[in-house]
Amino acid sequence: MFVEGRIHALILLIVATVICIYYMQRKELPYIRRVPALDAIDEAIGRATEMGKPIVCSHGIAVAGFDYWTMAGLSILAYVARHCAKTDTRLIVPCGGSEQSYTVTEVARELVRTQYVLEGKPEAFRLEDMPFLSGRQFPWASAYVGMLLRERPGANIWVGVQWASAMYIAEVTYQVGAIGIAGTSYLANISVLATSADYVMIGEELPAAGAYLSKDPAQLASIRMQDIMKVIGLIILVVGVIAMTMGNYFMVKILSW
Amino acid sequence: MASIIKRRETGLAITLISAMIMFIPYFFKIPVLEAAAATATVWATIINAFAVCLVIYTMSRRQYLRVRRRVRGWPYGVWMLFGAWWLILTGLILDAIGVGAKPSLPFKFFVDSIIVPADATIYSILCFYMTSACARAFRARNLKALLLMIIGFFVLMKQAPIGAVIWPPFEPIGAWIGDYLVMAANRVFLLGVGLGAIALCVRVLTGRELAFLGVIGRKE
Repeated sequence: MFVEGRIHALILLIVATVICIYYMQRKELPYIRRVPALDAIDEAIGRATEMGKPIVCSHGIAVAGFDYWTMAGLSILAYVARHCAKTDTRLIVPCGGSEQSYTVTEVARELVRTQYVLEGKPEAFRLEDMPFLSGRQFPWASAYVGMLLRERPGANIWVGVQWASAMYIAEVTYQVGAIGIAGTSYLANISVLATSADYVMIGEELPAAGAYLSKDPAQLASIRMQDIMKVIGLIILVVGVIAMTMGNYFMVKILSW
Repeated sequence: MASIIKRRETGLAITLISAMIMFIPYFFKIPVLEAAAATATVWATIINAFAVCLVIYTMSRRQYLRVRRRVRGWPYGVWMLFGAWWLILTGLILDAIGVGAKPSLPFKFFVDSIIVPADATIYSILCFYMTSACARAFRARNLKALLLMIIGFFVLMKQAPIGAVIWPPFEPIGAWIGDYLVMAANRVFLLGVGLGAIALCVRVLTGRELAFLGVIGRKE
């Protein structure tokens, strides 16, 4: 009946789901600490508005389609689009970057259009400002930096799945004098972006961004669930290490179910 | 019919059914669902192919308008339209009607002689960008920057062949940083990603995550 070696994963999944649903139904919102890079998004939008310059925001190259990081990128894009619609700031979204980004591009366009409709300014939405640049990473990045050089935006926000091309974008952002806010799913890139972007979202700050910005109870609940599951993971880790040091392999057996 | 398809509930129902088809066979041995999961994967590829058509349309439309309005940089639009449609025509149509070798020579020439070298050039330019970023970052203005500089120096010397010649311990120190410090951070990161994926899955299945339907913030 059960696939061998996956029962423990199913149990952990059920525990995580129960915790998540419990916190979703509580009226009290879980607390999330202040994240400087996210607060900087508001500052960047304000600066671009005052300067009369556009904002460039990328939700990432979506290499795996609608994965965890791309969803986080789309959440941030929706937030930026809402504020741009509110303040009449031009928003440019360079779409594409991978073969899986075709579907994500269409969803991103719909998402941004929704934000303009919600602000009562559907006519301000311009499909031309959400071009699909390429289905490959580096042609996409080249077109992206070309766009930065031509448009000279007040701020550039590039989040979601960002690979080696993120470095390229970071340096050009610096050259054009725009505020650079970056977040990436690629661990090796974080150190690189920390050196070149004005603000960088490290690790889970990026997926937590959607929750932090929107204050949506469901998203906040899932962040709390992650914290609790991390503690459970840590306990399993410590108990397992101690048990194995003492020659007891019960944790290995449990995790092999 | 169109109004039913456009409803949020329809999108959510399709998501829930698709998720269950993929989710259940991962944990339980049910041959019917295993076959359904394989079919769903093929469907996903077909849906993506439809999106490609949409993208070709919007991209061509955008470039055509740029050229027609003579906006700044419009000649690049002509080049882009030419490149994209050249690849479509030579890659799809010549292959389909069986003219010449497969892949067709004009297609192969464009890919091997233009796209691949241009891609490689852009990738190699990154090393110069990295150098300029390092030059700015490696100014020890505070404790964190100093720490970054020291760690960066050891890793650089480990990677550079000359490092071990200058001082042999560069290699084990650099390896230790990679195997212990970086690995520990990497595992914490991966743990967070795994849990985040579960959280996303729960939000999607409970209908609380709607970004993939393009409807964040919409009040029903």
